[in-house]
Amino acid sequence: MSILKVEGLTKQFGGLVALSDFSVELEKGELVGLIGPNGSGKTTAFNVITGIYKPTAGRVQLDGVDITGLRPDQITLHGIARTFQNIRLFTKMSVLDNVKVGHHLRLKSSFLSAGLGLPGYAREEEAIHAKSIELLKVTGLEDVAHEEASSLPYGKQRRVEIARALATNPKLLLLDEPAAGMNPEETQSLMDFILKILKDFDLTIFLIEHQMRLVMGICQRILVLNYGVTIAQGLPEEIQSNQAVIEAYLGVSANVNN
Amino acid sequence: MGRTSILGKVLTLLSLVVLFFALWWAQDNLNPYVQRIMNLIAINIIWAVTFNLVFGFTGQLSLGHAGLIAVGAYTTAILTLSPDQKSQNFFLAPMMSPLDQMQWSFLPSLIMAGILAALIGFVIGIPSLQFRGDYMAIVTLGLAEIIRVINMNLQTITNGTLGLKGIPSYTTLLWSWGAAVVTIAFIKTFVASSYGRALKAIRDDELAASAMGINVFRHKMLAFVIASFFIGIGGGLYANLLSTIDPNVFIFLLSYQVVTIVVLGGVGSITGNVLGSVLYVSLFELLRPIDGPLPIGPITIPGQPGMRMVLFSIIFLVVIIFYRRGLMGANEFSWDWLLTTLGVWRKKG
Amino acid sequence: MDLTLFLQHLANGVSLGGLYALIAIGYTMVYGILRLINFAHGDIVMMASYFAFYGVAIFLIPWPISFLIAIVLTIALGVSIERVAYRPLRDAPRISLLISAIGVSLLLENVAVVLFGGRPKAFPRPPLFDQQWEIGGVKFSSLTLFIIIFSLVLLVALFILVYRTKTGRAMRAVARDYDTARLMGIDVNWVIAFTFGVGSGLAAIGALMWAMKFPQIIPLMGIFPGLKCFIAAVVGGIGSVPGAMLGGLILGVGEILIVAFFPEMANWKYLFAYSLLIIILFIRPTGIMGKEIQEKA
Repeated sequence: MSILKVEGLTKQFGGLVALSDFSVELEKGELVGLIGPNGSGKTTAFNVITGIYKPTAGRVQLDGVDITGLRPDQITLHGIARTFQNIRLFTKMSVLDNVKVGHHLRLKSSFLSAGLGLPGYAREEEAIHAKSIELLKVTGLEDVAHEEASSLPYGKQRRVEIARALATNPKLLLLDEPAAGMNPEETQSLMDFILKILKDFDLTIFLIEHQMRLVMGICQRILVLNYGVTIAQGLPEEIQSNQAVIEAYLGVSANVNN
Repeated sequence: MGRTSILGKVLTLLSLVVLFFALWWAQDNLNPYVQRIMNLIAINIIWAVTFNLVFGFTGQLSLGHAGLIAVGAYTTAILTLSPDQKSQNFFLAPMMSPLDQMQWSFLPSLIMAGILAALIGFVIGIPSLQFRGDYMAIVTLGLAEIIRVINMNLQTITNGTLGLKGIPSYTTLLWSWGAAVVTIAFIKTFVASSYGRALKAIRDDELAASAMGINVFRHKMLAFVIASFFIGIGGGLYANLLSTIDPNVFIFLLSYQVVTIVVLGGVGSITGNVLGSVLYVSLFELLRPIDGPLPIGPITIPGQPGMRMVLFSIIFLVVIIFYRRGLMGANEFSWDWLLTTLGVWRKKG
Repeated sequence: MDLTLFLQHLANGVSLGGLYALIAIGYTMVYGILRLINFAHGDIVMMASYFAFYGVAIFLIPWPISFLIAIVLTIALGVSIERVAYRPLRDAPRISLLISAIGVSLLLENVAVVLFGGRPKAFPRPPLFDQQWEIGGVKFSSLTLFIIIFSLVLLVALFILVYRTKTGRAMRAVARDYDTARLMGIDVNWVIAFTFGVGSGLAAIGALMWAMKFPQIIPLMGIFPGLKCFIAAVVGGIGSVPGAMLGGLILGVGEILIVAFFPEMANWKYLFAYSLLIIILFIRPTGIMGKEIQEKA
């Protein structure tokens, strides 16, 4: 059974159709890319899948469960986590606390137990601490654990966002332009990183990206959107030589041979 | 954590013991006027810390404190008044039974005050927490006013506009400060927990918090109800301190007082709330003379009633415009800081 | 209840509603441009009343001039408040602005207590506004007529200002998109100051009418009307001037009619405004004539 099954997803804002009849199926363990010129509806697709927008039409199923129209927090509980195009960290909190927040949804202790400092809660808190430190090690952020999240350089902030998303223990991870603003070196290590977590955390990953090197480099499959419509779907080599895709990008400086 | 953990706990425990004995002594030895001020400080601490939970840590501006204080105050008043006193109070219309025959001791009454306030807080929260900042402020303000109007009209329960007199003065320093300590302890622990992190996440970015699996509405409500519980207890202590309830006291000016204290002390800092309360209440009393004629040497400066409040308003505005972070900012007192400052040990690392 | 009585109540309601409307417009204009609930607006109304009172009763200046001076002073007050208490916080989180407004409100009230004393003063009612007329059994005073006329005239004038002048266009631009307006070369500070000036001027006119209708003035007189008028603005559609008028009318007529039809509910009439607020925020949060705003992620 596929992990993610999206059927006929459509999102309209008044007269504007941002997303039209979007369908995709992701098998467990796949790494799929979503590309398209600016404004083609990629983030809208993510927003509808994760519940930030309610779809005008269509269905979303996660691991067989219909999650269409649920709240974002409910959808995260079901197993989808994401990062944002414009990084949305909890700016006034430390890096470590940001990641710890990701563990909150699976907390079993009641607020009473937490407020009274009962041993049951203390144990859970220790476990959260340990798991969060582990995640920071994996993402190479141990040394900045106690820094305020907003004080970090852009690249590190991105990694904090990913660590935080991983803390929610997702089945499916949605990454919205994770390589934005990165130089070729950083992009390469991000590519290695994504492949690593794909395996280590038993994930399925769906990512939006403009940097073609990353997309063509690690994605097993690619979907292309233009004006909300899916114009192509297939293997990287197929997409690269697809006429419709090339036309959609004409005028936009997308370095396919980066 | 580490080296401060055990030492810190010991120091805290020690301080509490010292506080306990100090208050015990103070109860029997300090003059009633000073004791009254100290009681008011403790009660305002409770109100400030709870407002801070909702505003400083969760980012929601609620101006409904006065309504919840009223619920708490009326609850303990109604429960602790003796049947005789009740019949004396309710001369316009007899009190509703079985309330007219009930008489509880202080602790159960206080707990009940907290529970009822929490319930009303829940009811208030359902509409108000769905709105953004400025709208939430107005809605909570309106709801607190609704509570006030209802209180003024429930003749057989609250004695309407006549208020209540002769409420037993159960509130002593140990009670008020004891309650304050319990409130601070619970809220401090709660905020340091995962729940506290979730609330701060909501304050920083509701959308992202939701995307990380946090049920935003439920958590806002949690903070609001917990706050309401303790506000109610504060209200109960207030009633049994003043011995009279005038329903017009629970006007939004009382809510503004709490906001002023928190802003002055530092939003998001429990230490700040304590300092703010101490400062506000003491200054309020200390400045009483400027409301009347002030003799300075041979000259007497004619006072005007209300000068105190003008001064406070100016201070408040100056703080909010220029020192928005208040006295403490978002910083907390910690044993670590104190010991380092005193030079008892060198800064770590 | 017979028709005449009903019409009488209606007339009273419209009169009250017109007053609410005049003050509500000030709220809605400031909110439209700054997204700020100007808690101090009701207190500006109070100050205007006192300015006029002192002019007529203490300094014995003829009422037309006193009223005019009061309006000018109130405009100056409103603009100063914006300059001192709101402008420094323009880049701060919105909540700080709100708290500052609360602070200004408190300051005005307390200053009024010190300057004017807490005891109620009797506001003069010039004979022009005191004529009693009767049409078909319905009594109303000339004051009522003036309230209605002024409200309508001001509504039209505002409409012309906002939709037919360059300044109005600037106001709309700033209200729509503050940053872009600035980039387009609009002197945002001036536009905002101007908006406050107009809002305060309207508040002053409303204040004078109010004080003539309810001639007892006290320092805290602005609080409840202020709250109610803000609710009126929300009900009608915050940010919309016709909305504020509509909201004011609904509130005024509603209050009068409720007490008229249910006299035993007289004590509860204060709840009407607050209940209306909760209801409208649930059914249609942007108000009756408000516009929908969708936030993008």
